Amino acid sequence: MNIPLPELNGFNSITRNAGEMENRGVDITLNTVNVQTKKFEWKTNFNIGFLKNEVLSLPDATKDLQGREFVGTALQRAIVGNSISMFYMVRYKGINPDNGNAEWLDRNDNVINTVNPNERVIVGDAIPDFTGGFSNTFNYNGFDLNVFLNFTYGNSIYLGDLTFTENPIGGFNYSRQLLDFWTENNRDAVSPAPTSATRNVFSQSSSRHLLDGSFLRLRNVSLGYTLKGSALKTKVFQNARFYVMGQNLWTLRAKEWEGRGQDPEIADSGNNNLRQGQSFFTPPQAKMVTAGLNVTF
Amino acid sequence: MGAYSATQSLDAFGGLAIVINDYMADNVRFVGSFPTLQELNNYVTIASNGSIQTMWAAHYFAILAANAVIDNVPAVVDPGFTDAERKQLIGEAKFIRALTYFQMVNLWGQPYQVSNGNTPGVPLLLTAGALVGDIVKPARNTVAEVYAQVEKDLTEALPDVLNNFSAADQTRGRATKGAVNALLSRVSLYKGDWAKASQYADAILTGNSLYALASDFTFYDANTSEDIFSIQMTATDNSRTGSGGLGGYHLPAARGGRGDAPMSASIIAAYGAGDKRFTSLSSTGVDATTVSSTFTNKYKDGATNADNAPILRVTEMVLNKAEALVKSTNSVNAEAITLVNRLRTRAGLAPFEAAQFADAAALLSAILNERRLELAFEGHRRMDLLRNGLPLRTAGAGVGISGPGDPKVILPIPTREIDLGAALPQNAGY
Repeated sequence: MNIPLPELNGFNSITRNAGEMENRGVDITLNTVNVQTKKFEWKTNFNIGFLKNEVLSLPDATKDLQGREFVGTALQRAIVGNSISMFYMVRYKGINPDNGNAEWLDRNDNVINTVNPNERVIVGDAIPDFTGGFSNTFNYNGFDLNVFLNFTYGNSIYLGDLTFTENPIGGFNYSRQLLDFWTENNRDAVSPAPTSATRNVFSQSSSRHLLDGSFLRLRNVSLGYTLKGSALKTKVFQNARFYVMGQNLWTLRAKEWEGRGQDPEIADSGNNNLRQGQSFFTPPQAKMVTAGLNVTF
Repeated sequence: MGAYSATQSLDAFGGLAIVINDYMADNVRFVGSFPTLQELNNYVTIASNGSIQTMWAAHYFAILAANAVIDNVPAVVDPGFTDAERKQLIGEAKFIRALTYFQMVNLWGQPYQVSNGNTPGVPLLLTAGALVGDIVKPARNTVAEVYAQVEKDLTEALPDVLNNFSAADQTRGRATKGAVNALLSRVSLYKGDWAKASQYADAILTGNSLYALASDFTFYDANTSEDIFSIQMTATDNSRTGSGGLGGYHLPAARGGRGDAPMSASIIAAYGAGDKRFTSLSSTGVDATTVSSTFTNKYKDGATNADNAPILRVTEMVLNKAEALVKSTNSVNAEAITLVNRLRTRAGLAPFEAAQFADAAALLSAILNERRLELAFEGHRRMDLLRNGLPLRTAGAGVGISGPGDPKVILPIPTREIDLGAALPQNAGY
């Protein structure tokens, strides 16, 4: 594990065995042939993995206010009794419909109008409850269709880019989200009233920038047709397969992603256990459509 | 020596300290996109600010590198490595350590004038223990203790470092007797020791052929006799070319920069008509918000940030001495007027005359104004205001909360350090 060091030592982390951690989980794979006739076949492969990660001890670590040992950064902590990648941030409450001020919560659930790092609490886990995939293959009369979905549930994702794009006092590159600001006639707003002092601190990192990482995605779909050389009474080729394939064509995810745009399958965390599930302007994966012809001679 | 390399980082002396000093004061406007710099400009900084965390880290990395030299040079077994050479390298490392601690105490601690330095400064680490796995979580020393260590390092270094090197970029870019004297002059001035501020400035200004006041404003990034010490930069030294350096922040996009730090209306007004420090050192261009703004020309390379970072130069010594003379004599001091008139004349302005000034305070105010105009965009303005009891802002965000002793005129200890090192009390107000 990368243990963060006080940076006044000149280095910011050291990799060492810092304590004990337990990973408990179940992986289930189901392979089934649902239909099999001479002309038609339908096979599925379903797999799902449940994981429960828990830090058991961190003997040399600092203790937090609740007396739990932890190591951590400004946004994430490994805390004894929790997973190794807990998001630890100030909770965002929303825009007050009465006055248009942005509101956050302190440790004791009181409303505050600033983002003070002293008020951080556990707000999410970068490790999903379960992940998996679901693949269906159909064959009919020379046609083949494969549909592969993958999914993740129960994790949080921090989008650091939103601190730039959803900054009402930023100079440029504003998100459209900010157009939904509080007025007397628009009390259910996304961003503070134009006269509110909280606009100044609205973009400071809080759970406002933490999104539900659960998703279901059509990872891959392909449709093909295979022509046998023998069918055309030719020996020029044995088989020819025409196909069209699409990747990432559709994704189901929480409504809060709308207009904020990025890909829930983000990956700029590297191998740092205290930077899991964090993204900073990570480009989304491409939607891709490929068509092709495979010929076997 | 690796310690110099550590100072080149954007977050140490490569430019960010200059930029944030200016964002907190009144010489530039913030028009960029970095929320962490914007919150400094707006006086709503929080302790988890990422830019402040990387600055803290870069400063201590430079200190670690200097400590490593100081710790390990004596033990090097090499018959060709003379005692004088060893002392010289240790002296250079002490200069770097002093320079770094001095910048830190000015950023993270209140000015010396607040409670005479008896306020929290930064933790003093004087050995390279981390390199042998000795991880420490020290407490904060006071501002006065950090000043004392800086002075100790500098006075110890003074006899051992060289006067000059054969190459100009080393004479102007490594720790020399001139650099040590000049930094001692500044430290003394900031502390309020007028006699020493003046005495160390004299070591540069009087009878020292290595240094001379430049006759015009073409000396930037040129290693001329105007320069006492600057961080030497090439196109590859600043690894953060995309997110800025001195040229990156101060130049418009058309000249390769980001256009994030154009001049403020207040400083443009302060220059007045015909001031060559404005006419020959500014230009207009499109800023980060695509509005036409005025930018300084002190930095030229907005794309790769290869401009040397100015740290100590002769003009500052002239101003240090003039200010120290007025403060020590508490009078309309004739020698001080003669000194600043060298700068007025160079700027194409009429010289001051003693009769213009009703009292010492009026002359001091004029000298501080010349100091602002001469050293603008080189990171001096914030401390010059604070140590003279003046607020950083008289308009816009920060009015009423930007004087010496106010919480947000100094930086917070990064949240991460507080989390990891229980012995670091946070600055008030964060």
